[in-house]
Formats: sequence, C-alpha cells, structure tokens
Amino acid sequence: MSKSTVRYILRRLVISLITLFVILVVLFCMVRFLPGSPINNEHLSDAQRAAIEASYGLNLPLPQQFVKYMSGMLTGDFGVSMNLYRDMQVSSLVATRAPISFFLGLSACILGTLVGILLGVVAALKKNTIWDTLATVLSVIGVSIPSFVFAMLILMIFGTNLHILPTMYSSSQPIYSAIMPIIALSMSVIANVARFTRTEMISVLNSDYIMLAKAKGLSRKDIILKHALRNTLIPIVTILGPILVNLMTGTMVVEKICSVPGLGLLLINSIQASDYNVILACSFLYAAMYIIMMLVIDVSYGIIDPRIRLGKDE
Amino acid sequence: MEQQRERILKIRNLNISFKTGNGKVNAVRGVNLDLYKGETIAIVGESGSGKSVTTKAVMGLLANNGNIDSGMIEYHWNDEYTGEPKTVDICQLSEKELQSEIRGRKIAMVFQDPMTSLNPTMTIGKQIMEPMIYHYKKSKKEAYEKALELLELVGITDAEKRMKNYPHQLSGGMRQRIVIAIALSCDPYVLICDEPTTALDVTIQAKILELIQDIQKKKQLSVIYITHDLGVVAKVADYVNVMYAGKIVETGTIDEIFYDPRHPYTWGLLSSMPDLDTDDDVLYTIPGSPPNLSHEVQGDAFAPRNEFALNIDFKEEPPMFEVPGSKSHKVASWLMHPNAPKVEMPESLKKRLQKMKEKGDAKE
Amino acid sequence: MTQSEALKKYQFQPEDFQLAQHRDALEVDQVMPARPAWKDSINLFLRNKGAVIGIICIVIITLFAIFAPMLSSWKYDDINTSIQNISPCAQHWFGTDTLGRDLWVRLWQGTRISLFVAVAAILIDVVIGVTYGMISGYFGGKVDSVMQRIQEVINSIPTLVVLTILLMVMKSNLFTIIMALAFTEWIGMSRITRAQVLKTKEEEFVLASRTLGAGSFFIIFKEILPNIYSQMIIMVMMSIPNAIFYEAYLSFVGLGLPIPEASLGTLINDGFNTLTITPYQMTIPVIVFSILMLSFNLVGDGLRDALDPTMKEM
Repeated sequence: MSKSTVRYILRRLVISLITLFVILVVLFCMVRFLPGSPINNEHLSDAQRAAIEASYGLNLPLPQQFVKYMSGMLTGDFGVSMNLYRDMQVSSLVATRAPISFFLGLSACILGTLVGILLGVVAALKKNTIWDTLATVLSVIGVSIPSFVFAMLILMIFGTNLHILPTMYSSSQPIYSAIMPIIALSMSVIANVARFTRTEMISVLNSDYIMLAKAKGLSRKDIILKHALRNTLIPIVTILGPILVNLMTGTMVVEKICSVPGLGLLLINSIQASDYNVILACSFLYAAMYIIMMLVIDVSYGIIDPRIRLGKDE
Repeated sequence: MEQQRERILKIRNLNISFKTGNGKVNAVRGVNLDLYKGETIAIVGESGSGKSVTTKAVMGLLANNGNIDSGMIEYHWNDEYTGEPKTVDICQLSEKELQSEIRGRKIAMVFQDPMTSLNPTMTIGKQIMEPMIYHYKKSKKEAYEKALELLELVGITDAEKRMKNYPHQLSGGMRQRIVIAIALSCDPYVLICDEPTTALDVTIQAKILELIQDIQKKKQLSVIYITHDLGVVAKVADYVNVMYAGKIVETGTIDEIFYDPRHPYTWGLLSSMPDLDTDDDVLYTIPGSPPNLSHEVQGDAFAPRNEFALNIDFKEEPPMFEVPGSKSHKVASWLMHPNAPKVEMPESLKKRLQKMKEKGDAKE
Repeated sequence: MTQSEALKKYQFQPEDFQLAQHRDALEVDQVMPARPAWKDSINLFLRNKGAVIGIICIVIITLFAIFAPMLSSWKYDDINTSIQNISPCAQHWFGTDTLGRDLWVRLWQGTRISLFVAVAAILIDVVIGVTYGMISGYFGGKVDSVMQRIQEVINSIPTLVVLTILLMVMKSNLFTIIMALAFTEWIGMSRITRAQVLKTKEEEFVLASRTLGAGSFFIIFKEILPNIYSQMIIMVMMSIPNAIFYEAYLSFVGLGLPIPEASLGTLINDGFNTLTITPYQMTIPVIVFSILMLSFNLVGDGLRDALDPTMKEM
C-alpha cells in the first residue's frame, strides 16, 4: 500500500468518525424529543414516575444526560432498557440479537451476489436468447418487488401450505429456520447484481481489449475467464453500497415477518414501546454498520482495481 | 525478381454482408487482394468503405452479425518443420482452427486506439507473455525473457519495470508500442495495422510508423495498413488499394497511385489531402456522402458523387481495367474504356502532384 | 479472364460514354430528414414492451384508485362488526376485514393514498434537491463545500434510520409521512442539478452575459432546467416506487398512517396479522402493490433507455 492510500484511508476514517458522532448527537436529541415516555404505566402516580425518571437520569439537563451517555458508551455501556426488557443492559440485548441479523444479511449478500453474477454472465454471453430474456425478466421482478413480499410468498407457499420450511424462526434450528428469510432477502441482491453484471459484461465484451485478446488467438474460455470476467466483476463492488441499504431495510421487515429475533425486530418493538436507549443503540448500530461497510467497500475497490489510486483524486 | 515474390495472402471475390435492424448491408463487394512476403500494402478509403471489415475477415474476427457470403482468403506458408508449402482458405476454417492456428500465430493485428486496446486490469508483462504461453506452451521464464526482448525491440526503455506496470501508467505512444509487442509475440508472418496512428499525437505518429517499418525489415513481415490518411500511405506502403463502398476502385504501386491516379475517387482523395505547400484557400472536399450499402447499388457506386460520371456509370458496374503499360495498376472506372471521352485529372491536382514529385525526387 | 474477354459481356449503347451532366446535383449533400429528439425518444420508449405494459398498468390502477371508492356503496372506514372477515363474494368483491370494512373500497382507497403520498413526496424532493443543488453549485467555494459535507453526512445515514427517527419525533400522519419521505430522496436530485450548474456556469454565453452585467443566476436557471429534465424524469420515475416501498415499510414498523386510514402498507400489515386464517386480506393488496412497483420500475427503465443516450442500445 502506498503512502497516499494510507492517507486516504485515514482521512476516510476520520470523516466516518465525525459522521458517527453527528449521527449520535442527532439521534440522542431526537429520541429525547419523542412523544410519550417510556415510563407509561398508568398506575403510577406523578411522584412515582418522577422518581423512576430520576433513577434513569431523565430529570437531568440534556447536555448532562448526553455526556453521561457518551462516557458510558465509550466503555461499552449503552444504558438499560427502560420499558421493553425492564432494566436489562442494552449492550447485552443487542449483543445477542445483532449476530443473527448479521448472519442473515451476510448470507443473503453472499448467496445473492454469487447467483446474481452467474445469471448476469449467462445473460450477457447468451445475449438476445431466451436465457437472456429470462434473466432480464427475473431481475426486473427482483429489483421491483421488495423482500417482504417474497418473504410472505415463501412463508405462504413453503411454510403454511407445503409445510416444508418452518414458519417461525427457532433458535434451536438457527440454520434451517434461517433458510426462508435468507432466500427472501437475497432476491433483491440477485436481481441487482444480475442486472449490473449483464450490462457491464456486455460492454466489456464489446471493448477493444477483448478484440485484442481475440486477435491474440486465445480461446473463448480464456478470453472470458482471464479478461472479461475480472473486468466485469471489479465494478460490482460499487453497487454493494445500495445493496447494503436494501438489505438493512429488508432484514428489519423480514425479521418481523419470520419472527427472527434480530436487531430489526428489536428496533421495531422498541419503537412501539418508546424504549429510548434501545432505539438509540439499534439505530446507531445500523448507522455504524453502514458507514463501516461503505468504508470497507471504498477501500477495497481502490485496492482491487489498479486504475483507482486512492487519495490522488482530491 | 518478379518470380521470387512469395505470395502470402490471396483474396478473391470476397463478399461480406451484415444483418442489421435496417436489413442486410453489403459491406464488402467482390474484393481481390494480394499480399507478398516482406511487402506492405495499404488499403485507403473513407470510413464505412469496408477496409476494416476486409481485414477483420482475414483474421476471422467478423462481428456476430457479419457473414462471408462468397469468395476466398487463401493463406500460404511453409511448414515450420518440413518446410513444404501449404495453403488454407481462411473462410473455410472452423472457429477453433482460426483461433489456434491463424490468429496471433500467423496473422497479428494492431488496433487503432491504444488507450482502450489493452486490458486495464492486467499487467503489461502478462499481456505480452500470454499468447506465447498459450500458443507455444512456453514456460513462464522463457516467455518473460522473450517479452523483455520484445519490449526492447519496440523501443521501450526500462523494460523490466514496465513489465509490472498497468496500462494506465503509460502514455498513448508507449501503449501502442506495447500493442505492437503483443502482436509480434508469436512471430506472425502478417501484421495488420488498423489505423495504428490515428489516435496518437502527431509527434509520435512518425515514430510508431518508423518502428513498424524497422521491425518489418528485421522480421521479413508482410504488413497491411488500413488508413484514411494518405500521408501515412505515402510514407510506408509499397502497394496501394483504394476502396470505395466495399469495392477496390484502384490499385497500384505507390508511385502509380500518387503520380498517375486514374480513378476520379482517387483524384478526390488526393485533392482533399491537406498539405502545407498549396495556397488554395478552400480545401477540396468530395461532394455528397458514401452510398447506403443496405440498398442494391446500381452501376458504379461512386457515380452520384462523380463530376466525370458517364451515362453507363449509372447502369453498369465497371470492371477492373488494366492501365496500359503497367502490370500492377488497375482501375475500376468506365473512363478507362477505349470509347470513353478523354478526361484529365483536375488542373490543381496535377500541379499538386507535380510538386510532390519534385519534393520526393529532391529527397532522394 | 483477360480484359477484352471481360468486356464482351456488355452491350454498349452509343450514349453510354457521354459525360452525364449532373454537376448541379453533385453539390447537394444527402441529409437525413431532421427529426426532433423527443420523437426518437417516444419511439424508443414505445418499442419497449415492458414500459408500455407498465404505463398501461399504472393508468388502470390510478383510474381504479380514483373512481372505485366513489362508485362503491361502501365507505372505507365503515365499521360493521356483523360482517367480519367475509371471504370475497358478490357483495364484498374482495371480502371484508376484521372490523367488517369492505376491502374492495379499502384497497383502492389505500392505493390512492399510497400513490398520493409517493407522488407528493417525490415532487417535494425534486424541489428540495434542485434548490439545494442550485445554491451549492451556483455559489461554489466555501458555501459549496460546507453544503457538500452536510450532504455527505446525511447521505451516510441509512434511510431507514432517518425515516424511523423523523416519524417518531413528528407524530405520523399523512403530512409528516410525505415530509419524511421527501427528506430522504432529494440527494440524488441535488447531485444532478449541482453537476449541471457547474457545467453551465463555465459556458461561453453565461460568461458573456456576465461581462455585460447581466445577473447570471437567472440565465443559469433558465438554462439548467431543460438540460436536466430528462434525468429528472428518470429520477422521479425511479424514486416513486422507492417512496411507495418506504411507505409500506413504515406501516410495517408501526409508524404508518393512523388507524382508520388505509394505505397499501397498512392493508398489507393488517392482512399479515391474520395471514393464516384469511390469506386473501393480505394477498390482494400485495398483488396490487407488486404490480404497481413493477410497473413503475419498467417505465423508469424504459424512460432511461429512451432519454439517456449514454445508456442507449447496449
């Protein structure tokens, strides 16, 4: 890695940290302005409520609350749940759920990318045949129809009617019962990747350097494997960002449909219960994950594509 | 002397058409062409005249919608081991045979735009070594040595360092040298240069042309230039073929075409060549535009743009007339018919050619 | 074949070897009849079967959404507990829901709201985006870089987090949902506008009129809109399905429209709760939703191919 690459990565890291801090401040303020209070038990008197609020530090001035929260966060303490899971540590709540969401998202991403590339390459190589049409139709459907529709469809067909797959996530069968949500989530990834790969591959196959490779007398197999594929696959990294956003939104809804006890379901439940600290931690985690992934994607693109020299452009 | 010329390529009555959304386009219509060992021919014409298509057909690299309707492209060579002469018709070869026998090994190609003709994600070294390893099963080390030699041959200093570079790290001229090195990597007999200098800076153009000429002499290569630049032709070619609307309309040695052109289209081409000596205010242009080859051409395709067109030009396609007194000079124009009125080339062109000739003589 | 033999097959007429005097005709270059670019675009668009089908579907669904609720004898918020969960029949074409509301009317009422929300949100986001991009590009310098950094930060927060937080702070109703959706999609629009402003600013006639003392803001504004209208239309078409999706997503998370109102999202969400007992309650809105999403995407694709020459006929 060259010096400019390192400098670029450092610069990106600093910006990411600043962004994260801004997000944290904004989230914190907004959550505090939420209508409704987490201590909403109607049997409590005002005095009792004030006492409970004081015990959570909610009576302190906002900046003080923020400092307290921040300093706690640095030591891995995200506060306690105030409503949903009374007095449980948010960090431990999140720690048990995040891996499940992460597993779902990552599996869907890998599965979707592999299948998508395959579909896209086949469509490009067999351009204007029935295979191409089929792949194009599939990818339009996959791009337009959100994952929760797929999740519902799969749930209805394979779960309720055919009884092949379990309708609910169960922690005793973490892989088997994750099949359905993963497939549902991977549909949009497949569609996006297939579409992109097809266009990219077709333009690569029409490029001058493929003509030169042909003129060298290489076999079709070598031309595709050694020259076309690599140049097609590198830019796919650029669409991983939007795919990631899709996947995050997707996991939330799919987790609800398939009752997967992941981060998304936790966030949904905590929104409905106005559970400040949980909402804050979940949203922050989503944002952090997104920012880190984007950073990784950018840097890795610079490393795998020799044409991109990180840090030289600015 | 004439007998010793060894013919490498013999193209006869080549017809190529493309299927497009607007119907069938007859891009090449009955082309005849000969290429001899160690010699250079140039194919000159406007874009769309079929010059590139002809050479792509020689390499079997026509686009998927292209088809060789008739004709033959005979390739002659002496077997590497036994030395006995052999002949194949490239039009009859299968894709597999073309790929493993012809492309790269016997006929290589240099493309127009060096900025896009190298694989951007593969090192220079790999790209040069690849065909040698593929065709001759050379070991990596052998291929590496040969690649270094080639880089030096095409005038690249610091060859070892350059082997590890990616194309974007080199200038256009350097990249074209690399493309030439790749073309030479399997020791082909024929080198096709498709507008090899059009995309380059003027200052580098001459250097690249000289390089190709040098290598041609060293390796006894036969070279086909495709170009619309008569300046390039004058510099490098032994024989010139002028192509118009998919047909060769005039062919001859370089002197015959430049000092004694007979076809009105050639006159037009020569007149429209910009040069520093003429003081004409207006640069001559050939009126009109090339015909649409998706329609059947009636008579001479150039007739509608030809100010010297005869009535018969609109009815019958002219055959190739031999210019009296020359074996190589042939013209497809009814003006060559004994009954045709005597038409002279425009006065201004005459003067121009006279000047060029004086200059050329003075140089020698 | 010698030359004289070759000539034998011709039958010459006496006038054959006269010059065909047609010098006047020579000077005229053959020019293709000029056709306005938009005609080409329309032709290209109409050649795209998917896009045409998409347009037809959108028109039909829109017509139903406008007129079906008016023409029915039921109202979308009529609660009638005596006719709970009736399967589709002659009286209630799409059945009734758990509160005895007619689902035919609710479906089209919901479609109407979803479409309205999406279109309104996108129109507002075009206004925000164009204004932001114009200001940022026009003033340049420090203003530009500050505005770009802000945009960068906003852009690096995932949409789902922004939406969730915004709607929790502002109590969700039709207006806040539209505002929240408008707030999430404007960045693309602002990028396009800014790029165009930067380009136009450097053009000769702007510089010229500026030296003459004319205010260039107006000139640029007049010049920019026609230049970005095609990209704008494509963006709008691509963003509408996004907005429809996010509206549904909000309903799923529990931040959708308040109770008696109907949107496609709330209908799907309500139907999902009773999926196993009354599958039609969910299936029907999902079908309409999917057709709508698919149609907008197909039309967007068709428009992109027809309007954006850089993507034309790969």
